[in-house]
Formats: sequence, structure tokens, C-alpha cells
Amino acid sequence: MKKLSDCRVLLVDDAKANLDILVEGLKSDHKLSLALNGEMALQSAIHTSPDLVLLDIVMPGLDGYEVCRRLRQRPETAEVPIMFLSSLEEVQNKTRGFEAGANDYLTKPFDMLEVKARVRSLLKAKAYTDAVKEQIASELRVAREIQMGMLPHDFAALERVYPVRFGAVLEPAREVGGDLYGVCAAGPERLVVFLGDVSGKSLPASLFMVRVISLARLLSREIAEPGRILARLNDEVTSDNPSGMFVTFLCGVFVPSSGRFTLANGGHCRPVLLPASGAPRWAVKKLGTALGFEPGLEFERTELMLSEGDTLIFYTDGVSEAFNPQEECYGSQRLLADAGSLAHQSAPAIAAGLLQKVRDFAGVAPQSDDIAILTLKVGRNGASSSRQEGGPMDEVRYRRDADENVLQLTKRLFQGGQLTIT
Amino acid sequence: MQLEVIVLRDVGPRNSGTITVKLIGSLNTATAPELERQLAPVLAGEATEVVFDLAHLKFISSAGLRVFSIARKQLKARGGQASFVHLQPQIQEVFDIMEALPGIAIFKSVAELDQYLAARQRCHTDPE
Repeated sequence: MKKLSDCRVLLVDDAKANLDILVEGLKSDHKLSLALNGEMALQSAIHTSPDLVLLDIVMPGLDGYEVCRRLRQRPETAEVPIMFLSSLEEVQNKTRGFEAGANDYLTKPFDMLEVKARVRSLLKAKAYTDAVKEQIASELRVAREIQMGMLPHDFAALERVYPVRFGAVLEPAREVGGDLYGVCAAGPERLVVFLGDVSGKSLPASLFMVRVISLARLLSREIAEPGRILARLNDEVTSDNPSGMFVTFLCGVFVPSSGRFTLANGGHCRPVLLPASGAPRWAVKKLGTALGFEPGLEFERTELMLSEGDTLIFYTDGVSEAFNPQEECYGSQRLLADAGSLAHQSAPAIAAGLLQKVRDFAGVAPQSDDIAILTLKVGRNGASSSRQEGGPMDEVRYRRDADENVLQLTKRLFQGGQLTIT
Repeated sequence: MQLEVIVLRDVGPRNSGTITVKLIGSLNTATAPELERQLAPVLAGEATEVVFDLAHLKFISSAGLRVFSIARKQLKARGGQASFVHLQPQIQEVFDIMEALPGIAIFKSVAELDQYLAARQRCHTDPE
């Protein structure tokens, strides 16, 4: 926690004599900044980041009430403690001061001992709040690193084996979030791709996200058909779900040799199919039901035949439901049009380009939801035949082995318990 | 945007025992706890039919949908049902991801809902 002697107090009074008294009384206890009018006070507050402001009310130009209101409006100074020191002693003046955002109000003439006691009290409260905030922030930073580590960023090993290129971006609205995606090499002829969005934001969503992504990875390797993967995942996340969390989830299985891409949708926004030639369109018709509401659901599947140059874009509703400052929604029509304009770019460039289009649209409006985009572009067929012994496929196989160890371990851990791996 | 929650206990001859919950405003991460708080006594009681009137609900996020999901689950556990009426188009779009869930019913109008509730209650009181 910050020491009280390191805390900076900004003293604001148009009468230099008053400032002298305060400086004399406080200079040995704290760092001080001085301002002789409202304008100077606002400037100083921005540049010196005080831990407390002692503010006179009656001043030429901006009065103390107005300075207080403006400090509260600026994000940098919105939470700094403010104490009025004023000769106005009517209860209406005090009430007005608190309404303007003050934390305390002391009338002149004052006793220096009381000023010092109140200053210490306000600074202690501020230091405590700051320490708690910093601890939460640092824990969230670590949580974010852990969460980001669960998402694949480098697809090079996969791309050497499968004739596809990937692009991915993920931006939580807060430090951690509920969006997730994954790509699993489930076999030489089976690549599983998934993307999901957990209800809500921040910590609760991120905890559920970890549960979903871990299960999804295991089930992707165990089950061949995406509709079945969804059904099993749904059964697992529906059990022991007292807070009613749910996840919208999209899962596809790609067979490179035939170009067949089988998709199943659990309530997620429809992915975009960007053909090598032709207009962009929705890759599936139906939304289906989200996972986590009810066990025993079945999921429809959609089959697509992909050929070289075709791209699939999976995204979360942080994209389609981004808002601009006029509170207009980015919307699915804009998404289709913008996707079309990026059709001839690479998979990573399409993901990054789409994110940029959404950002340009949103402008200065704050990001309200987590954003994830995963793109998959089909390369030249037969790229999978260029495999070499001891080459990249071994690398992928090694990762599979590692995951299978996890699977075995999980099987043992959950033997007879909730999680059953078939 | 804030959320206003109005809980009405219908005492008319047709819907006796039905509780109507009117939502006005925006149901999102910030306002969902308020709805949870107001629903708690309703769900802790004996009510089996809870109707959510969403005519004046302007926005719903997934955090809001979660509250409906919990209500549906609790009501379904005791043979009850959550019904929803007057969904605005943007709300309907979000509801689509709860498509075809057992224990959830969506109606265009109060007349359609009344007809359904009356039929359901006849089933309960009259085995035929």
C-alpha cells in the first residue's frame, strides 16, 4: 500500500494566504501541488495525479462546484477524493458540494489538526481502494495470459500437414472473457474446427469457457461427427450448471481429401461461406439450440463441399452486434458485404481485415462484447500428400499423443464420476 | 438503459395462479441481477405458470437469457412452465438460440397465451 507521505495533495484556493496556512500545516506529511484558480486546478489534477484535492468553493472563473463536477467527468480524475474547504457554512452549500461529487466538506475557519486528521482518513481510504484494485487487476492479467494460452495462435504445424490456412483474432471486452475457438488435428483425414461464445462476460464467462474448451478438445478427438460432439458437449455442460450458464457453439469437421466440411450449430451466429468466386453467403441455415439449457438434445448437421480458395468465417456476436456511437448495429448485412470485399486475401488477412472493419464502424464507442474471428481457407488439394517421414506430421502426431495422455488421465480422474469419455 | 420489473398476480377466473412479470427497458449484465432478485420470491413460491410480458423489453443480452433459463429450469422441475409473450423482433432473434426447448413457450399475443393456459389448466383439473 502507498505510504501516506508519498501521497500528493492538490490544494486549491484563490487566496494565497489560505494556501500558505495549508502548506505550512501539511508540507511535512505529504507531497503538495498548488493551484490559485479552477482552471489551474484542472490542469494540475491531470498532470500530477493527486491522491486528494482540497478545494475552495468561491473563486473567480470556475467555482469549486464546477471544478469538482469536471474532475468527476474525466476518467483520470473521476475517483480522486475531493474535500471542500469553504467559508460557506449553510447546509444547502454543503449538500450542493456532495451532490457535485465531493467526499467531505469542512468549513472555514478550520482547525489545522482537524484538516490533517481528515486528510489522513481520506488518503488511507484511497490507498486501500487502490491496493485492492491493483491486486484484482494483476490477478486478471495472469488469468488473461492463462486464458489466451488455451487458444491456438500459431497454426504453422497444422498448415504443413493439412491443405488449409487459418487466421484467428480474439479480443475480450474486459481482461478475460467467454469467447473461445480451437482447431484439432483428429486424424490425417479429419480436422475439427470449433468456436463458441459463453453467456455473459468477464470472470464467470471465462471460468465456464475453460470448462467448455477443455471438453471440446477431448470430444473432438473421440467423436467423428460434429452433431454428436455437440450433443455430448451439451450433456456435459448441462450437468452441474446451477448458475444456468450456456454457450453458443459451432463445430465443423473437415475431410481434406474430399473437401467435405460437415457443420453442426448449437445456437451460434451463422458462419459466412466466402466462395473463391461468387457472393458470400451463410454457411448454415439454422441456429439450433445453445448448449447448457437441457440435456439430451440433438443437433442437425449441414454438409458443404469446399474447394480451393473457399473460405469459412466463424465469428462471435461481438462482431455482428458491435455498436457505433450512434447506437447503430454493425449487423449481418454489413458483415456479408465486408467479408465479400476481403475474399481474395489470405486467411489471417481476412480475420484481421474484418476486425479492422468492425473497429472502424464502432469508432470511439467502447467495445461492449468479446470479439472472436476464426477463418479457414482451403488451399490446393493434395497438399496433404507432400508429407514426409519424420516431418511435420510427426510433430502433429506428437501433440496428439500428448492430448491422448491428458485424455487417459482425465478418464482415470473421472472414473465413475460425472464426466464419461466413451 | 435501466430495467423496470413489475410482478402481477393474475386472479381472474381463467388464469388463476398465473404470475405475470412485465419487463420494461434493457435486460443485460448490469440489470440481470435485479430481475433475479425480484424473481426469487416468485420461484420460491408455489407458482407453476409464469408469463413474461416482453412488450416493452428493448434489449436482451445473454446474461439476461441466463435468468430466463434458470426460471425455466426451476418451473419445469415442478411441472410448471415459463411462457413469453410480445417478443420484439430483436428479442425474438436472441430467443432463437433457446429454440424448441421443452418447458418454454412463446406466444405472439395475450389471447393466444390465454387460450393455451386455459387448455393446460383444464388438463390439470380434468383428467379427460
